Amino acid sequence: MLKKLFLGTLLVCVGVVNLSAQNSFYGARIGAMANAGCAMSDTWNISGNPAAFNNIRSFTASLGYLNQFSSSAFSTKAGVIGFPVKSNFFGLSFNSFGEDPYHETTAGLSYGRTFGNNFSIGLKFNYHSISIANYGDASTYSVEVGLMTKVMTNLTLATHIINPSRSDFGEELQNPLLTIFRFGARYDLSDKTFIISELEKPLSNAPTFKTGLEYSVFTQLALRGGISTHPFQQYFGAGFITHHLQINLAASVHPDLGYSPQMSIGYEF
Amino acid sequence: MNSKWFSLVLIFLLLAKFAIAQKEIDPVVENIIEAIASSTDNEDLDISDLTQQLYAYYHHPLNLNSASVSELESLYLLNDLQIEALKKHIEQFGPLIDFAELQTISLFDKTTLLKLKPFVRVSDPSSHGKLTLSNGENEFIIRVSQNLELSRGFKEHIYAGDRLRIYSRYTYNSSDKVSLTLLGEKDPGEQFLQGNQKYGFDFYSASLSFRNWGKLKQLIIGDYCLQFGQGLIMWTGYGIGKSALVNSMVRNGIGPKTFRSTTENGYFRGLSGNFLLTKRISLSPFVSYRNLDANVIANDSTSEITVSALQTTGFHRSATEITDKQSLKEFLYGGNLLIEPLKRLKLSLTAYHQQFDKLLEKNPELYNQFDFKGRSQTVYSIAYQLSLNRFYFFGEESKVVDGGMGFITGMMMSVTPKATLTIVHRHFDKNFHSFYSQAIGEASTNTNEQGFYSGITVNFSPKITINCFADVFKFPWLRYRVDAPSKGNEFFGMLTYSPSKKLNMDVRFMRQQKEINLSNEEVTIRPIAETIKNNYRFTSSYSLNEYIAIGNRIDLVNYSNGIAKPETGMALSVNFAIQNRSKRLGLDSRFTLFDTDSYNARIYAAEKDVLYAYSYAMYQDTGTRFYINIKAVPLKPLSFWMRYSVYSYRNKDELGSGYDVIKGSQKSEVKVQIRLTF
Repeated sequence: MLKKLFLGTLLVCVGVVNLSAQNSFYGARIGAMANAGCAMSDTWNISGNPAAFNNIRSFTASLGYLNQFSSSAFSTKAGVIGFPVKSNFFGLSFNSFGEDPYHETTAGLSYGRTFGNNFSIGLKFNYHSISIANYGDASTYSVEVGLMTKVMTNLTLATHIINPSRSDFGEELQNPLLTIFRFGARYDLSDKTFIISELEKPLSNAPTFKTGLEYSVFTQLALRGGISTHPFQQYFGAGFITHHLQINLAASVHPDLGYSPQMSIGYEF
Repeated sequence: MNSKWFSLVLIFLLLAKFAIAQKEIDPVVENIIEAIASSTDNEDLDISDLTQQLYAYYHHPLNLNSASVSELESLYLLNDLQIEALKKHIEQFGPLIDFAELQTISLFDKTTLLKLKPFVRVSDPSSHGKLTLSNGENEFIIRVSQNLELSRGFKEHIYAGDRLRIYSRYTYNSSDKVSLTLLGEKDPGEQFLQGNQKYGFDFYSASLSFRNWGKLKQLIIGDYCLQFGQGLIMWTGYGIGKSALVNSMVRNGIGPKTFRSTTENGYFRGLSGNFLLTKRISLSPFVSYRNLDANVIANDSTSEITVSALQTTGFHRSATEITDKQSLKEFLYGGNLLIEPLKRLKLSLTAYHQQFDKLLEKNPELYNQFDFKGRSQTVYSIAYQLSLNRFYFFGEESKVVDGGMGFITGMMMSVTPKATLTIVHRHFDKNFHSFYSQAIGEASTNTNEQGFYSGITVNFSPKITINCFADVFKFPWLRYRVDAPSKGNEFFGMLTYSPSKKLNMDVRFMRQQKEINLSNEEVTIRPIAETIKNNYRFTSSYSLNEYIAIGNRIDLVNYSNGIAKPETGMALSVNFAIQNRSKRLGLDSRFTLFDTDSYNARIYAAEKDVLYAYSYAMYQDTGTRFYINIKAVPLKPLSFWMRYSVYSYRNKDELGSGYDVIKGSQKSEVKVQIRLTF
């Protein structure tokens, strides 16, 4: 009975915050800019837009933790590794959400390819699994595709489609594996400052508009902020960057559910 | 002579600065097609003829020095003011020497020139075309397509034939003097070489056309279209109405033209021609005898056979459809006299008489009581065009014998070389009715309507263009599903930004306000409600190089009638096209995610298809749309196309209605086309 109650509460919460089996955690850099990272080259796009992790110069690894609504039941642990081979980019990502009795894990394999300086495409294969104690396990596969184009010297447009083939967990489990269309833009205001914006539309859910800004105070320190709609949330964060090491911190504020701190640490070998 | 030298010097100065590279014509063609499609609001529009025409001009560019007004019109890229200005320029300074000379004509802006360039050339006026009689062009096309899911009509064997759609066409062109078209088509569910279709295809069309043989400008034997004046009484085939091409709704009838479509209606079968009587007078007589599909009913009391409705789908699959096939005979004849009393004035007099072998009488309803009723009708009209410097006046006045009148009066004006303004007033009586009218209007038929249209195009720079129109209309009598006199208006605005030849972005807004019945239920009084539909659209297209192009599009719609909950719709899409270095292998694809509340909030989008074919997607409910086209040209005279397209819906286990019902949540189609040129 207690378990059912707990599961019920969990599902209500999931409904409130529009969560699905895809727990988007794109690292604390993108996370500080409202997760609008579709059109921005970043290591953590290994678990996001597979056309947009073409910034990595050598073998790179990063670990991250998101404590949604400061509750361990809604925490996400994730990690990515990636490496380039000329104009080809390979990446592996791992994402684990929840705690007993409810767990979701996603493992992804990303491939990106750049054509010249202005254009890249990417493909990502995912393996999703859900396990609910005393109920059982379910798993499925999905794909993601991405495109990123620098259309002007200071404007980049990108498209990221999650699960275009509309795969799901079958009849057994009603957890949706959403089909999501993300269309994003990055506009460089100066060498130090850029704005990113994104329209995210999950099939049969309301669209979300997200926008964020990054300002490099000096080479080693970047300040970030962002907002998103549906529900209206604010984001802020900071990054400490050296030649090899990157430490990012961020937090978002939900009007009803409160703070969600996150962090990620990456190293480029 | 002095001015000739002056313009020469000017040209060379400009030439050094401004060289227009050959651009892919697809976006230009696509724009024109979408404008035509959105104005006709017809999903089954057959645009192959237009596509063929534009591609033909691409391969055999039109000589600007010798092109006729109607040829220039058929490009859909120049407005009448520009055409007049070009003609005047040639008259004044002699034939053009180079394409860049067009820049010296004030009405030709850079944007227009860029679009025009691929379709035209500048050479000696006497050289009329590269082809000669001995060196004709033959083209053969066969296209086969099929839906992968079985619909109810096939499952329950209601349709007599199989699921394939087969289309084949042969055309022969010899210079611009002789052309021959033969085409056959079978729709899904129609039989082939058996049963009711013993002669193979369900629909055949043929036409033989001769052009420019002395005084005989045009002679068409077989199937043809007619386009006169502003289209108030006679305009078959496609025409641009209210659309993003805001100044293109000004018509200029080009007379008889070959029918090459498979719409199975809106054409004539017989003879038509265009003869030069004197230098300033030409005559276009036409005569046609044709069978139409119609719903025939026998009147119980008088045992008279009457026709209650014309069928225009062209489908002959089920027993009822086969019964309706060719059940009404139409005999039509008439003529058009084009007179140019002054150099800048054209008068076009048109009259036709139409005779049916059965009485045409719709089921009487309050709203249709002024519609056509009877066995025959005569309609006549006078249209005019007058160009005076920066002004271009046009109009058409028409009258149905024993019926109402229709008027169109308008003016196009070049406000500055960068801005063109068009204003048009229209008035169609409620008992004005011509079967073949297709003039500007809000309703699909030109009857029972008054309206005022104004549109403007401003080219701020070659990078920024604005197109806007506003249209206010009124329907003095009831209409279908509108149980009271009603009114409405429409606004459109579009900003195009092309910072470079590679990148093009635009945003559009359209607002339609109309009154319709609040519900369609059978009640004593159905009040009308004001509905408002707002459309927003963003598109971007980017060509990375000659081989790769990508684009995005976002559509938002909201609809409300002020009483029920507002309905919204949204669609996001990405498209991608790539071809190899030899351009013999190409692929293009588009993925769309759509989510709309209802039919009212539906979204339309033109789709790329195999050559000459045309698709128009309608996004309704929630789901995704995907298509992929593959083109392969293994040998120069031989090309192949393949297409796969699919709609995939969410939370549905049945699609369509009536006999078209499909079980499941997917609807997909496969298409193959082969083209042979020799």
